[in-house]
Amino acid sequence: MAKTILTVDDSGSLRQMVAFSLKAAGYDVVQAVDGQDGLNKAKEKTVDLVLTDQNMPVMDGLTLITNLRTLASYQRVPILMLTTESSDEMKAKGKAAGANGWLVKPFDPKRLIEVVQKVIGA
Amino acid sequence: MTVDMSQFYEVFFDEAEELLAEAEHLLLGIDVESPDVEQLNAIFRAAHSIKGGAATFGFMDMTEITHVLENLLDKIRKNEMALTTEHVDAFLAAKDVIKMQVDGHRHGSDVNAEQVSDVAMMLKSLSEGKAAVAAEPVVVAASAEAAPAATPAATAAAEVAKTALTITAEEKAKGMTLYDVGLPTVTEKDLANLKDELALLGDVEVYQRSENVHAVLIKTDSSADDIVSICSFIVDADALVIQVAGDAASEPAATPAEAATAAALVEAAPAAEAGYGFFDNDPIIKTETKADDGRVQVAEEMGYGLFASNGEEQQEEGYGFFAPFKPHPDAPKAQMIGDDNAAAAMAKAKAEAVATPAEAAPKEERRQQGRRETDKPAAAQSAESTSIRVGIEKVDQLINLVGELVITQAMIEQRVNALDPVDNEALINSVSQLTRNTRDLQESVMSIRMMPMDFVFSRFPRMVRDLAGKLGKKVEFVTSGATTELDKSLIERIVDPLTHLVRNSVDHGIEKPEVRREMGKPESGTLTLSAAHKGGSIVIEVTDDGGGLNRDRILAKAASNGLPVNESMTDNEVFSLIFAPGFSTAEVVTDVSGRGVGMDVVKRNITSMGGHIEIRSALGYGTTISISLPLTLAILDGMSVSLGKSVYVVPLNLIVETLQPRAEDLKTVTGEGLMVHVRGEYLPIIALHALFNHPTQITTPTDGVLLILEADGKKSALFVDRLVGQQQVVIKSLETNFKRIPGVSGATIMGDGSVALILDVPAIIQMGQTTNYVTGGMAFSNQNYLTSQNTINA
Repeated sequence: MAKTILTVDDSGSLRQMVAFSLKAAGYDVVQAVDGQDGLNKAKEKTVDLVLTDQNMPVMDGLTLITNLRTLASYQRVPILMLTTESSDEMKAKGKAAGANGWLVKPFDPKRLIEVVQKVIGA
Repeated sequence: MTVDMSQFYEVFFDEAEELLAEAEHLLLGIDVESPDVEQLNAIFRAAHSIKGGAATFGFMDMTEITHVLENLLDKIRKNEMALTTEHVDAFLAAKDVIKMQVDGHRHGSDVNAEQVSDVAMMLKSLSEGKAAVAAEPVVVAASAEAAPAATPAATAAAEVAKTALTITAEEKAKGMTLYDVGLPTVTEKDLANLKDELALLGDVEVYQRSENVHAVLIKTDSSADDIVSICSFIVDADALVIQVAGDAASEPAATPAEAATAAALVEAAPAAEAGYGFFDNDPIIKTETKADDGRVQVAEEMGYGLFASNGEEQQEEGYGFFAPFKPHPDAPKAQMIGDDNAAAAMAKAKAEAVATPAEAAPKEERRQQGRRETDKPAAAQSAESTSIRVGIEKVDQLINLVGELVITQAMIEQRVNALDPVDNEALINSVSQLTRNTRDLQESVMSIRMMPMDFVFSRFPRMVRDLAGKLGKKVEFVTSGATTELDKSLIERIVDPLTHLVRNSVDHGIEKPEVRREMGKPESGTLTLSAAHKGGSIVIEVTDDGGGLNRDRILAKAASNGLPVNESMTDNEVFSLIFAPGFSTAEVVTDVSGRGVGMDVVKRNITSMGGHIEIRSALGYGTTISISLPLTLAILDGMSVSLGKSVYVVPLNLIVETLQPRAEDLKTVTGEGLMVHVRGEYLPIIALHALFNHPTQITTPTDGVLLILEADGKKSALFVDRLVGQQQVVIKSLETNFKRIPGVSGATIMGDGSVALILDVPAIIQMGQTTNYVTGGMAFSNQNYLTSQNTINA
């Protein structure tokens, strides 16, 4: 069964690009427009991987990650931050919040798939 | 796998335009003295999102400018720099430039490169202006060479000592880092470009390592990733060797961990990761291999690296996992980086220190300035997930079909009503149910085309701000009713006339601050743009508290232009004169000058939309220009009237009242024709049958009905046979199906299937006047009238 990936980004174009690439690689994709939406969708269905933007309205990526990690079903689900902010601070914060890694925007769809496959397999 | 990125371009362009519009809106509303942190964050987010999208989709010109913009915004939102009006001006200019770039990519329109670089320079200098830290001359060492093995610090120090760029401990504490960027062989031009680009991040110095081999020292608070993303516009990012240049002179011995990291990075640099990473010590993603010597091993894959929690992650370019990372069994083996808890703690502390100022900033009540909004537009944030984009032609087709359905339903209702209500009770009930459903359906469908007036209003704060600045005036711009909805086609057509009116108000209505002060008014003028529903119409008003219109001067000007004027004209009639073609010219007295320029065009536009315009003004107190438009062009609330065997429809919103005149109220005035005395006013009677040369039995006003119509500030009484009833009609264009007929604005299909013409009231009033004027009121008087018809009691 195809693995499901939740992608959270307020930018529709990026989200669609990510979703399209992931679907093309054979994953199921759930999209969310901000942290709160992401949290709601994550609760509806436990996914195999969460890819989240950091800078979003309503709820940012770090808050989403922190919230996800409080859920029993998300203790062991890998979470990657897709972010343009690649500073140490951001990474430290990401790690502290419970993220497992990061991918800096802009990225090539190929790179995305490569990273995703590394984390959850094809 | 290849993904065709171009399929996402349109989405990105739409998104960028929305974000730009939102950013502009926020910028115009921002209080420079005490900006709301949330607003700053939202503006930052807009720049940030556009940058991310632009970079992803390869619009590098946009990436560059948004990057500079984002940096400056970041400094401001983190309270590292105080917001000034220059910033706001620069941001607005940047918005224009980015919009221009979007249009350039989207429609192939011209992009003014000079303007782009000007704005980039402006942002850059603003960004540096208050953030640059004066460097103390300290000898610095960089682990510089891109040799496979780590170069001894001393050698590097000797090389770099030739350069002036140094970093002090104090700067380091502030989060600045001195990077040494080894470049591949580049042309001089590229080198110069690269230097310029990198200068956006901080202080830059280029030095030569050997012939054709250059390196750049850069002191910045940006990360290595930022350097890579900037450089990648010009050189192959993979060929870059980025290192942290230490201050070896003062601290000759780097910590073992640092040295090891640096060494490992140097080794790995040619295959440097550009884009992701995983964090070490991660219980979820477990690495199978563990670095045994605490050194960094960098993945052979392009663009990612495992990331130890040692604060040196910026060395990887682009992504990382918080290791230990356990790759999926199917996946290629990932690497990891040695642990360094102390550094991690430091990084964390640093992160927290940076995070606090912005977050801790007190959220002050947003002082409303510039633009006051009585009703915020509906939150656009989540709109994307709940809306779909549909072609306008699909909507139009739907509206047409519903229009047909409404007509069919009316026919059925009419036939059913002729049936015996007792025998057909069930049928009649069903039909009345159908009537209700049809009406609801129609309303729903019509609402699809409705857009909030904010689409129009949102462009004005900026325009007013710029114009007021140019003219040296102070103008407070207020909108109300921005959520009032109007048909899309009308929204689009109202933009130009409104722009004209707003411009006129700022230019000629509102006085300069000193004049206002002398008159005892507040220095800052108020310009109000409002929209509201009034009956079946939407009323849009442009109000200023400026000088107002000068009746005497308008009259004098009109007289000199040869327009028929007299002192007894009402104010409304006098003010309407400024709509006369070519009325106002440059030599007109200042307080009205310009108001007439193009006002005839404004009026023509409004009239062609089925609306009307009127002016209220008080000398010294200001002017209100009121535009009244039908809610939609497709459906009209009409009064059907009969004339002979035909039915005509009169737009209900133009009917003031209907009456059956008494004989003693009818008077003939020389040169004006027959008038009717209604509530103290004498109104000219326009006989529709005479105007249209339409045979009818009823030719005496006392036998028929007078509809008192008002359009363009003029009232007239339209004489018809009978009132038939009030109903909504679907407007069909006569012009596209037949030809244009004076006095008729369209046609509709009535419930019984017959066609009725819809009267163009302003044109009829105009025609009535001309007819009366030319024939001297002959329509009702002796010859014409008496020969063909009965006498009337005049």
